Amino acid sequence: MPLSAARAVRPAPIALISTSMDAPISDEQLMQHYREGQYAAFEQLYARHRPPLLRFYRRQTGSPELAEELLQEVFMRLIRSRERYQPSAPLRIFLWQIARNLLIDHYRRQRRSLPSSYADFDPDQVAASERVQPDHAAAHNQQLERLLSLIGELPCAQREAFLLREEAGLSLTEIAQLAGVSTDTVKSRLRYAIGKLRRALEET
Amino acid sequence: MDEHEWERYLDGDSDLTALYRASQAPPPATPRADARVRAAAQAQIPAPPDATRHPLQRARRWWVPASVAASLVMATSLYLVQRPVVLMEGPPPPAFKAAADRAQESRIAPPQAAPQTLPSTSAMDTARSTREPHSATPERANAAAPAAALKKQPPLPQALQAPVPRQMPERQEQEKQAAEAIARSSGTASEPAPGFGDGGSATEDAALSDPQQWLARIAALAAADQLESARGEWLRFQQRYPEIALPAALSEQLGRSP
Repeated sequence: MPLSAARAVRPAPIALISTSMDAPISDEQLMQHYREGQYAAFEQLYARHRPPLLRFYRRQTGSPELAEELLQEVFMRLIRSRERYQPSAPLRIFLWQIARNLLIDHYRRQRRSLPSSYADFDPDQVAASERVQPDHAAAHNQQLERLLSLIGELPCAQREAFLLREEAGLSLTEIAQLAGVSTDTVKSRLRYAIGKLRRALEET
Repeated sequence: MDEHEWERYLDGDSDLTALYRASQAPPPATPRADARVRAAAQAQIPAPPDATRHPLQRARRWWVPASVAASLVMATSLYLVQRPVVLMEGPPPPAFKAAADRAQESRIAPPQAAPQTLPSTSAMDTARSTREPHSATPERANAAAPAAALKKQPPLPQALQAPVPRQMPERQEQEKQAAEAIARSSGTASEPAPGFGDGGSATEDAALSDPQQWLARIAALAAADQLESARGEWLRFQQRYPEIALPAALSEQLGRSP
């Protein structure tokens, strides 16, 4: 490879690549490195957050195409807002806030109003089109399919709380902060969701 | 759901969580989104100046013009040092005259006596008068002028009389023949360059002794659409300053290679 061509490829800074022996570099540090012009830092952020975000969207919308579109838009907004991002704020919250806002925007466009289930816990208010179909490509186990199907049948707010807990790994407080509700409300939503899932799985 | 199960769930130790995590297979590829996101992320990063260049390549960028400039300065300096310049039009001071006479006597010595010294100033001057016909007025351009100018010249500094190994005898011979041809001529130098006035003047002499001024004059001729005159001047310039290349812009105007 010519020297100039080799130099044209911006090398990934070694400092960004954490080994299994080291503590993984935080999202905030990665974002800071990206702000400073290190593209490799963004690649790590993308690799870290793309899978849970994509699963979240697929299970919230039931549409792989829409999920991909929303996923793309999340990162586009993250890129555009990189200058505004304050390292003091957890990037995970920042990112999932964007993801949630986009989903709500999608609901608004589709239905001209927020799903009622975000305001209350009435599962009948959730349109059938929003319900997630089992991700057959992801799991062939019948029990897994059943679980995913049951998750799709949860009311939006309960499903959101469950997915934010499982996919994003957020605490109850963080979910409350992100959703703009109290921690007790999040706790209620989550307890309802888990209770329903457990009962349904025990019945099958 | 009792409190114990709830606590286990919050601790990440529930069967439900384990089952769900088993479903967290890597999501399918999203090549279109990946490509767009990566392109957007890269586009936001300003490219550092010359990031694609090797440090040595960056360094070479200033080496080249610097070395060319240094070579040009050195070549011009050497030429100007080696070239005796007639600075005085009038008779030299007595002390100078005596020194000039002594130098003349030493120059009259046969070439065999000092085969490796600089060419005699007489030969150089006569040859120069051949190449600079317009530098002399018609009155000064008679056959006696080179000799008269020669007598007026101060002696060469001792350092400049050091051996010059690459002096070519053929060139000396050519210069001598040129001087003889001028001496045999009707007493007029070749016609002055068009556009330079009727004859040489002190200002023109200075201009022609300065290659940059001479080039400027050639450029002025070319700009005035006197291309033939400019080409003739360029030929004379080339004879006088063979080490100086014709500037690219000027060579385009004259239709010649630099």
